[in-house]
Amino acid sequence: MSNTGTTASNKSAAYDYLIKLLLIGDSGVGKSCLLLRFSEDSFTPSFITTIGIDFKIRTIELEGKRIKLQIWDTAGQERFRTITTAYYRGAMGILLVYDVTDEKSFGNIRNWIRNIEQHATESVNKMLIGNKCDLPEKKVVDSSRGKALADEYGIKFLETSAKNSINVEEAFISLAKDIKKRMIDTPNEPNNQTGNAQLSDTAPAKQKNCCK
Amino acid sequence: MENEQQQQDNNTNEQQEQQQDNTNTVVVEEEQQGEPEGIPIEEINRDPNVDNAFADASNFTIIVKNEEAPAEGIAHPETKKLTKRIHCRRCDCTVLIQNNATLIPLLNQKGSDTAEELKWMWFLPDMFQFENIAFSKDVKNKIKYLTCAECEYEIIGVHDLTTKENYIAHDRIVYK
Repeated sequence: MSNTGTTASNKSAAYDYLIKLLLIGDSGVGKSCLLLRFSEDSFTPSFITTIGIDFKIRTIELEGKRIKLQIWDTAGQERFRTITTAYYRGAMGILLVYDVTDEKSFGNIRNWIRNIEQHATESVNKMLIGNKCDLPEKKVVDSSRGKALADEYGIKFLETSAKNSINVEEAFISLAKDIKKRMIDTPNEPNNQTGNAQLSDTAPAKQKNCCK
Repeated sequence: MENEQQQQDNNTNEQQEQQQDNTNTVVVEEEQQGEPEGIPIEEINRDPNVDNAFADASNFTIIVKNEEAPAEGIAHPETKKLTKRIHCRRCDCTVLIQNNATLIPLLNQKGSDTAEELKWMWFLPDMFQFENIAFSKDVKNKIKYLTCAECEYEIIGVHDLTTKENYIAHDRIVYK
């Protein structure tokens, strides 16, 4: 593609910090839906659904800083057990997702944690997510078991409903907060590669939600 | 004789249509101030069930769209930087905020597998200039399509895998 009349490579001052997050978990637990808030809307199957989404960029405001989240979805790779170091590279946070109506997906969380320990950097922030909490009548994994597992690994726990937008934004914000604390607010941390000290003149001051 | 008459009628109709077209074109050209013809951004409306549908673009119908040029006040008169916010036209999600993109007319590019030719693009050298956006998986090892991060309704732009440049189609978004 060619363009006219622009100077490329203007360093963006559109954000303060950049955080890379991953979604991990069995197929069908609703990882992609966590990225798609309007999951219940029925629209014509579009071309984009065929190709699939690789990652999303979401902008949030956290303690007065504009933070860009780059959120990666495994997009079905997990079926073939091909999630390796390449996928984990540069990840600062991981959302471990299971389906509260699917016992097996909960059991596999331990396997996913082992996989993370093998491939991701040790310091990566993790969070356990029990998705589909909008289906209490089908629920087989009790909240207390989710909480106990999270406590065992010393990580946070939330139950979400991508369908009803319950706790979805909270999950991303909570994980982002922990990462910010670890990498940015703790100056002695050697792992700080992401700080972008540039402050934008153009940042709108009051933007609470991800979107709108 | 009748045929000839008919043909003449047809011709007249065509001429009239052409004249109408010309009128439209002139208006567009005035706004565009003689910029070169647009190049395409790709949109594909094909059976999503066809495996690997996107890999072969030979069946696309190309629609050259005489899109409305961006209204004055949307871009800074000199720097061409965005002066408004850009939203998804379906779900209203914020895609871009002020100053993070530059308005450009794309040059004509032949041999493209385009479905709809669009000219006016918002150019972003850095993907993190977006507020909210979704990137598709790689297409033909050349590009990623861009779509709304909330509703994923339609393709609103492209990301070039080689140059890392991003383009958002003026015709596929709304301003606020």
